[in-house]
Amino acid sequence: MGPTGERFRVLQLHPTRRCNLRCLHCYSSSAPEERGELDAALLREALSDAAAEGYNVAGFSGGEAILYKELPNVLDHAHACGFTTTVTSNGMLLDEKHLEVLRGRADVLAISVDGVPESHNRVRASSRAFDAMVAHLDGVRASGIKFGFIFTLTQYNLDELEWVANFAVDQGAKLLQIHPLEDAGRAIEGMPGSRPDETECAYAYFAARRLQKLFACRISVQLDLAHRELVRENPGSVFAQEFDSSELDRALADLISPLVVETDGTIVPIGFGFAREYRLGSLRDGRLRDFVPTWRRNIYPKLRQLFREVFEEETAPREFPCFNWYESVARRAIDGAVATPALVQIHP
Amino acid sequence: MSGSEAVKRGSQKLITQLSQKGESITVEDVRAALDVSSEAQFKLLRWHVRGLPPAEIELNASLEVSQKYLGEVVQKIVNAKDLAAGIEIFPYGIPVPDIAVVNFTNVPPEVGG
Repeated sequence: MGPTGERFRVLQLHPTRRCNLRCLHCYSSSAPEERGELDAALLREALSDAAAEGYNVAGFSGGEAILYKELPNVLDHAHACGFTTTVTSNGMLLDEKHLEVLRGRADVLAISVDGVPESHNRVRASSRAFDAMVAHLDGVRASGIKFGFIFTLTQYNLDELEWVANFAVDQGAKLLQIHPLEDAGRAIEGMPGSRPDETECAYAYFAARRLQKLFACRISVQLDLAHRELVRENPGSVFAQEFDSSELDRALADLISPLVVETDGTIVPIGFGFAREYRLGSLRDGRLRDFVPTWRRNIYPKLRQLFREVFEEETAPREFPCFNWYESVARRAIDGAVATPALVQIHP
Repeated sequence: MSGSEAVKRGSQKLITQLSQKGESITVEDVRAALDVSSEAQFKLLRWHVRGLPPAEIELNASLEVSQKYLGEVVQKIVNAKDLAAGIEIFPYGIPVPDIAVVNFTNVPPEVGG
């Protein structure tokens, strides 16, 4: 089943690292001067191949995904392949023109908000970031596109979460996703020491549950942390069930989700920047479908062993109940040690 | 954000906020939970909430209790449903112990250590 659940088999695409902002915590180190992007034809082929392998959600991120000129065509192709599409944006460029592009093409719009306006602007390294984003929310609502907000949890901002939740509800969002900051990309130097430790994650779990109760049916609160006891009871939720060789005959989406296509064409499991040892290949060298048989045979068993090791480590009795599974897996993939604060590139 | 605020954990600031709204655990919460008489004076030294309150609340607490009421408090903890997972009593006072710190938790030993 895996961490994205039974229904959702996620393909994450990073068509560009170009962005109008240079956020301090950006895991992909995106910035205005970044020009590298993936050829749309390669992306369309990847979407076709991924659909054939059972993936059903295509998430577009970046960089600022709406700066990718071919986004409309690629979103159309994703829909034609049967994908539900999501687009992540900092919201500053969601004017009428861009919303018109997204209308009917993006099923869900995820907009970043990193705290009260002052905090948001500081992390986004722009004094205009919050106001410019808010200025477009009327248009977002009018577009009819479902939208939610993504909040990056740090060591220092849990107290702003309730403000963000109220803001999200007031704006008509249906989802508030809380994602813990990881020491990845620009965050390593831009926000040193800001990765939330286990204590903050434990409190975040408590706070997220409290907010979900407070706001009941008005908004869905998703916290990107795993609870050790729930994982222990359901190893399949983190691909840690006993290995069965018949798995090798299953579709790729049954074996690994999320699957990530990075801006340089590299295809990796789990998250942006995942250890290259586990990569499927590069779209610049061949098609996704051509990499799958060899990867399934040679790499997948090793990845399953990795998942099992992380499961054993993280479900052992600990003082704190929650952990960031994506981070733990990425860390162990790099150096074989389960996560402590580390320099890793992972989950978007 | 001031300099001192910037170095505070988010959870510390959250607890302060919740306390101001009356959502923190107080001595009176513990007194009510344990059904300890109002005469029994104690301080709540520490607490830790894990999970979803109230049904799933996990509590690690330390109470400073006078010897006069120690028996009552300990008996209430032992009697309290879901609070009997662990209890430790440390008497203080030289030469005659006049106060005790009572640590208790509702977390089973294999989880709570």
